[in-house]
Amino acid sequence: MSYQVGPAEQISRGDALLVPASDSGASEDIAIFHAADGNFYALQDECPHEIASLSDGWVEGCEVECPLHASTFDLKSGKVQCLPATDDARTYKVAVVDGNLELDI
Amino acid sequence: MPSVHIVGGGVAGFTLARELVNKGYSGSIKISDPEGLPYDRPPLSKSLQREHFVPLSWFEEHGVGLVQESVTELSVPTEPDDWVVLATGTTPNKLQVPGTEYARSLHSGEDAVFLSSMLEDGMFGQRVLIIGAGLVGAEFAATAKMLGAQVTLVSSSSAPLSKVLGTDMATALHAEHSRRGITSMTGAVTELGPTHAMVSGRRIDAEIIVAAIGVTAETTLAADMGLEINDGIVVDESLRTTSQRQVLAIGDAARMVQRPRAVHWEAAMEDAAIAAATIMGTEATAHSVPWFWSDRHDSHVETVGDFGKASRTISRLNRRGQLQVLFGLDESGSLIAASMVDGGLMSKAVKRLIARGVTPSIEELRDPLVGPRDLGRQDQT
Ligand SMILES: Cc1cc2nc3c(=O)[nH]c(=O)nc-3n(C[C@H](O)[C@H](O)[C@H](O)COP(=O)(O)OP(=O)(O)OC[C@H]3O[C@@H](n4cnc5c(N)ncnc54)[C@H](O)[C@@H]3O)c2cc1C
Ligand code: FES
Repeated sequence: MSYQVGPAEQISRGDALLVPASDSGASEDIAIFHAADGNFYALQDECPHEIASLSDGWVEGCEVECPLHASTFDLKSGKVQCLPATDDARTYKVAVVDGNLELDI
Repeated sequence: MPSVHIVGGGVAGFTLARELVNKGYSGSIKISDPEGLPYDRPPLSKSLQREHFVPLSWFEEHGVGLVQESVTELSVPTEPDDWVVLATGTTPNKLQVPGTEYARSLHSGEDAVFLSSMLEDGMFGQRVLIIGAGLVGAEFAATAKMLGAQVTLVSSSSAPLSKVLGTDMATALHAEHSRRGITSMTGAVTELGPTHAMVSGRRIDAEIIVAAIGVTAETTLAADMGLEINDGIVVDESLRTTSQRQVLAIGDAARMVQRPRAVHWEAAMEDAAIAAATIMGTEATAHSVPWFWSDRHDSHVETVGDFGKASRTISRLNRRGQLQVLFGLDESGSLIAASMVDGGLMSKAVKRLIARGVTPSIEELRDPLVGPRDLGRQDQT
C-alpha cells in the first residue's frame, strides 16, 4: 500500500518530515529525510534507544543523528552506527513520482 | 592466535569489543568485569535501572568471552599480537568525615537497584539527603523527588558545575531544585550517622544518605603493573600506555598526555573506537568536540566544548526570558563552548561550529530566531 505524502519540495535538503501513523495508516510514525545525495529516505520515526523523534534529528550526508543521545543511523539501511542505541531502525520505501512523495507502508 | 583482553565492561570496554567484532577482528576477545553483563551507567541516576547494552546472546553469537571477575594481577603481553586494554573506569570519592560509611554512592547497578527499592519502601515519602550537587547528585535529587521523597541537597557552592556549564547556566539550573520542592542548602558536612548528618552545625535526619562528590580514576591494577599514572593512566594519542606498547587504557580511567582527563560517556566511546584502530592497525578518527548530557526535572541539559577556557559568555534567552543557551568565547572571541537546556539541535550545531572554527556574530548567537541549523550550516562551503 502506498501513501501520498504530498510535494517533495516541502522537505528541503538536510531536513526531515514526520508522517504520523494517524495520517498514513501505517503501524508507526515514519520520518522522511531529504539526504545530501538528493534522495529521499524513510525510517521509523521513534529512535530505537529511548523516546526521541528521528525527524527532529540532525541530517548530515546519508545519516541522521538522534536529537537526544546522538546515536546515528544510516538513512539507506537503517543500521545503527554508534551507541547508545543498539537496534537498527526500520526502513520504508519512498519514491518521488511527478514531484510527489509516495511512501510504501 | 592474536588476542585482546579487556579489563572492565563499561561503555568503553564494551564498545571496544563491539568495534572489534564489527571490523572483523580475527583474534579472541575477552572482557573481564565483576559486574557481569555490561550495562550503561547514565540511566542509573535517571531511572535507577540497570540497562544492558545487549543481551548475553550477543556475546555467545560473536564469540566474545565474558568473565565475571575482578582482575587483580595481570602480566604485560609478550607477543606483538596480544593486547591488554584497561577500561577500569572510576571509583566514587568518599567523604573524609566520621561516619562516612553511612553514605551510599550511586555508581553501580547494585547502588541504583538498592536506592530504588529503598525509595519504594517509604510509604509516606522517605527523607533523602544528597551530598554533592554535581551531575549525579542533581539527577538523583530530581529522580528521588519524582518518586515522592523529601529531598535535601547539600552543595558546597551556590553554583556547582560552573566550570562545566558556565556560571550563569550553573546558577540557573541549581536554582531550579528549590523551585521543584527540593530543600537546597550550601554547607559542609562534618559528620554522618546511620540516619543523620551534621551540615555546618545543623542536624539533618534522613533514611537515605547518598554522597555524590565526584569520582577518581580506578588505577589500582595499572599501578601494580608499573604503568605511569598521573590523574589517570597516562596514554598517548593512540591510547597506548606510555611505557608498554601492548597495553592500552581507555575511557574514564585513562588520560591523554597534556590533556585534561575526560570523564564523559561519549569520550569513553570514542576512545574505544581509537583503541580498535590501534589494535587493527587502521586509521583512527580523532576525538570530536567534547559533549555530554544530563537529564533532571524534565529538562535535557547539554554542554559542548570546554567552559574552562571561556573568558566571556553570551546568553540566549527564550521568549519567557529564561536562559536557554549560554555560549562561551575565548580571549580572541572564538566560540569554544556552549551549554543549553532543551536545546534541540543546538548542541550538534555548536559541535560542528567549534570543530570548523567558525564563530557566528554575537547578534546571531543571542537571537532565538536564528535556529541551530542556520547557525550550524552557515559558512559551510
Ligand atoms: C550515575 C551516573 C550517571 C551518569 N550520567 C551521565 C550522563 O548523563 N552523561 C554522560 O555523558 N556521562 C554520564 N556518566 C558518566 C559515564 O557513565 C562515564 O563517563 C562512563 O561510564 C565511562 O565509561 P568507562 O567504560 O570508562 O568506565 P565505567 O563505566 O566506570 O566502567 C568501568 C568498569 O570496569 C570495571 N572494573 C574496574 N576495575 C576492574 C578490575 N580490576 N577488573 C575487572 N573489571 C574492573 C568496573 O566494574 C566497571 O564496570 C554517568 C555516570 C554515573 C555513575
Ligand atoms: S533516544 Fe536516540 S539515542 Fe537515545
